[in-house]
Amino acid sequence: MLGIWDEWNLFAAVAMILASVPFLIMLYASIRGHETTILCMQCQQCVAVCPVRAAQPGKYMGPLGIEVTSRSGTKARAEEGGLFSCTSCMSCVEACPRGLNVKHDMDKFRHALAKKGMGQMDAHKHIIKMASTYGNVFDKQPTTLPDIRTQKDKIIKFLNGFAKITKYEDFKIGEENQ
Amino acid sequence: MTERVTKPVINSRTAKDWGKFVLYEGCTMPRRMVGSRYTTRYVLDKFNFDYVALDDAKCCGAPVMRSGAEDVALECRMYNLELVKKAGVNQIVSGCPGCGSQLKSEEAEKLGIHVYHLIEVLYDLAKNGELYQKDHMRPIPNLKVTAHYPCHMHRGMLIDAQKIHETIVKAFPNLEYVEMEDPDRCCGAGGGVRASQKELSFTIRERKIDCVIETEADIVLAACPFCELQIDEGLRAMPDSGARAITPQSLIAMFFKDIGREVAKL
Repeated sequence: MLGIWDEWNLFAAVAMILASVPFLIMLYASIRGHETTILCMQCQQCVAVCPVRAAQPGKYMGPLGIEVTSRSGTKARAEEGGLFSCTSCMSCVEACPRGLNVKHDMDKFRHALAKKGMGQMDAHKHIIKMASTYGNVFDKQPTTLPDIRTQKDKIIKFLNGFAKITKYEDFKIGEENQ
Repeated sequence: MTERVTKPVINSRTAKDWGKFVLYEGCTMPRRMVGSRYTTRYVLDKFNFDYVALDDAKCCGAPVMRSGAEDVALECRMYNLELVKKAGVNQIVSGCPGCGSQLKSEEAEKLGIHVYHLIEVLYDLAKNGELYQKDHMRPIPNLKVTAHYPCHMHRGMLIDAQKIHETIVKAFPNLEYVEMEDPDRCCGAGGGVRASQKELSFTIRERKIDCVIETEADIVLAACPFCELQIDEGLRAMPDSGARAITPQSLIAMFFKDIGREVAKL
């Protein structure tokens, strides 16, 4: 039979184990990079401010949905729910009362999904290929930036067009009254 | 607009105080929005800033990151930061907030590189009273100006967009600053969405265009070349709207008397 001190020690040991459970969960989540999903209290503030969710109600699952999907690890659901539709505007980050960096999670989750050959559209593959090969995402030209002198015509067109808005009626590059 | 904590705007540095910096132009400005590329350089030259534009700079990695290739994105970021370091400069001024927020990172901090957005430079000039150059500028027309707060500038680089835009616009006589509803709402271009899902991108943009039109502004400032492209395209598609989206540096450059002559010299 246990004495009163033995009972107390047993109680203290059990209490310590129970008290350490949340810390152990957080430690595990941090190691796995899931601390944001664990700390999310599902208040839906991120959903309320998401512009993509507003544009696609019912189709885009929103930051919270993607966080939950991320936690459960059902990558196919994230793909269906439009993980690659996030514009990375960070409205969710700003709205989160716990200050969780949802955008950071989105990037991580996109990377994990893409590594499994899921989610990416042709445009995403094209962007990666362009940046890797040509150092920019637009033109199939060498890495070096275009010489600004070769862009003279476009610059003139831009300024002449803008002069109409600023109501500079005498503004016309290339003419004497400039 | 949600209340938020931004970094305090306390600077009022002169061109000399800024010292030498690298002008990071990104992909969109040198390849798509070349008007803004020119006006950026023009304004920096006009106010005697000591800067260097790196011809070998690559994509910052932000669109690559959003496309699901984090490893390639980090390579791009490191390449650019190393390039800046090799140039012997410890400051980057980015014309694009998407690039700025991508480059502004732990890696940059470790290399001792500070990353700023161009609008911080313009704000300093406005605060110093240097931005309006009466003798060198044309008469400033009566214009109503509003501003879109680019997500990666406002939330990514934590720049107080409202204060900065208002200060810059109010530096000029005859310009009226009007704040649109939801100025910090996404224009729909970022995250690779414009490239991959145009229809969705344009649906998101509709709200932004409505907010601009409601202000009856002549000009909407978009301190991000990608937002400028997206919003300007949306405004042009609206037959009733005469407004144009433009970067702040383009608006400032347009006021200078000699910009036409300078462009002609190219």
